[in-house]
Amino acid sequence: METADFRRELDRRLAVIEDPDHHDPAADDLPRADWLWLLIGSLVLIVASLAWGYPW
Amino acid sequence: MVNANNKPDVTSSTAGEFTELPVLPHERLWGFWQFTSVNVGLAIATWAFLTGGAIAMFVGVKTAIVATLIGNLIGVVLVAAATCLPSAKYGVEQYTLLRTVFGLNGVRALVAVMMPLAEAGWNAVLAIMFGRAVTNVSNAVFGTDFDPNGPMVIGMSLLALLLGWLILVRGPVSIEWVNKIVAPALAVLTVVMLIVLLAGNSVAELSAAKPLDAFAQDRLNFAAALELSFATGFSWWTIMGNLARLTRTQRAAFWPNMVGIFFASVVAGMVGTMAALVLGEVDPTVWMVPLGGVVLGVLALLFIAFANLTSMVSQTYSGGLAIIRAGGSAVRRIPWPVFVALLYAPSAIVVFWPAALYDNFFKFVAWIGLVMAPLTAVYLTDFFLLRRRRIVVRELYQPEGTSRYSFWFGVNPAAFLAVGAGALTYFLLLNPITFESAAIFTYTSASLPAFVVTAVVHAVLTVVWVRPAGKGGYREPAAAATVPKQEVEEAIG
Repeated sequence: METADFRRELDRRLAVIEDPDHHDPAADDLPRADWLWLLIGSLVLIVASLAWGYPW
Repeated sequence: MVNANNKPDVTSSTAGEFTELPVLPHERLWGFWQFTSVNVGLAIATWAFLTGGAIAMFVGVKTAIVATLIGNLIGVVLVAAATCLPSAKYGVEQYTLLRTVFGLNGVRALVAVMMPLAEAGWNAVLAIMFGRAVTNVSNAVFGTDFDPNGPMVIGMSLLALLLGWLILVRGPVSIEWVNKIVAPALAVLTVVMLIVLLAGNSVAELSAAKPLDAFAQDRLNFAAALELSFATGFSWWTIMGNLARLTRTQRAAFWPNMVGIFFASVVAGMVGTMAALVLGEVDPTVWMVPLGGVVLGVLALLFIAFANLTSMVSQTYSGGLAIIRAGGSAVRRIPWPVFVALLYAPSAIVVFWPAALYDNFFKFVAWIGLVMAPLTAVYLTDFFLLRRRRIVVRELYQPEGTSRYSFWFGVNPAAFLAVGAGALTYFLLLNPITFESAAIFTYTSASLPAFVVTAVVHAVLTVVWVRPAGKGGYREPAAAATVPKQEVEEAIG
């Protein structure tokens, strides 16, 4: 199914990705602080919204 | 990008874009603001008005704000985490990464079934909206009295599909083009609608507007509006991963979703809800002339028709490429014009009954929730909980039988069973065919229990069955080469 060109290009890219000296900033996981802000912000928004407009 | 057979060449490109090859750092185009721009462009589309109108069936403005905020927030956060972070981390397309969840042949089956159905549904809705917009222009300008479900609408809907086919057979369509023209104009239209609504109605009048077709119990109405908002958030599952792999960091992959498909969607949806409540009509094509007068209203309708056409073309193109990649050589042999015609054909049948789908858009959204909530859950559970975010990129491209992600004959039955269990849970809580719900739905919604059931079933089946069988590459740690360098250095001290 895959062409020889595709395989060659794939191998070239994998060689770059698997090089121990290669570093892609996108590979660094989302910082824990971001997850914390997301959790706090979401909870505040949900609780405040429910308190304001839920049909109790 | 189009080869001699007039078919987009999706395998030989070395550009990294629109191929299943992993992208390299210098090919990642988008920082925070670029992805935010793309994200907002996706969010402010005419489907936001449709979902806003659907929510107005069940709740008034105040309750709609709460349901829309909470439902979209939870749906978008889960989808962004499940699809954007893995694709950004490894620079790999979502449907290539999903081989780690469903197996190579499993992804093929999933795409082969899901994509044509999703294309058929969305294209039919957008084509009928195009048809009704053009028909309402005729009614406003020429004084005609065409029926919203009559032959004129059907004819115009078929014309929309024909135009979509003509545009697509000419070759690839850039999402950037849609973003540069359609999205800003739709944003302006949304703001103008909001100004007109607020100028013409006091806050008290807006707050007092009654829902259009509500149940007897307020809490059930809230649950229905919340469920539609969950489903709207989950509906982004199909496309966000492929976009996020072009971002430079995981922050740039995640947070723009909160600006775009969360916040901008909520604003556009709420404008739709307010318009529907004030005008007593869920169909966005009916709002424009009463809101803007004949001249502005007709211009808005013509623009909505154009925007629907661009939405149809761009989503059919991306879905079509996914089907080509999943289908392999058998699909590649189909001439491109015929392939595109096959994609549009189911919609061309559906539009002969405009009211069946378009006037039951809220049921269509519920079907989306039934499918997308479990798919989000199974991907999120697999990547974050079971694999601890570790994927061996090389193994994604090994053939079935060789790859550690082969499972059984290229299919992971545990993932499909989990998705099935989640979908069944959804169906038992909220029947998308009739929109009848179980008593507990008022307190649980349907998407969240479906999400939880899928996650639990997938985790349990993997731990007690798949991993002990040595399948799916769950047992061994990922090769150090695919672990970020910083983590390797930390691990070896």
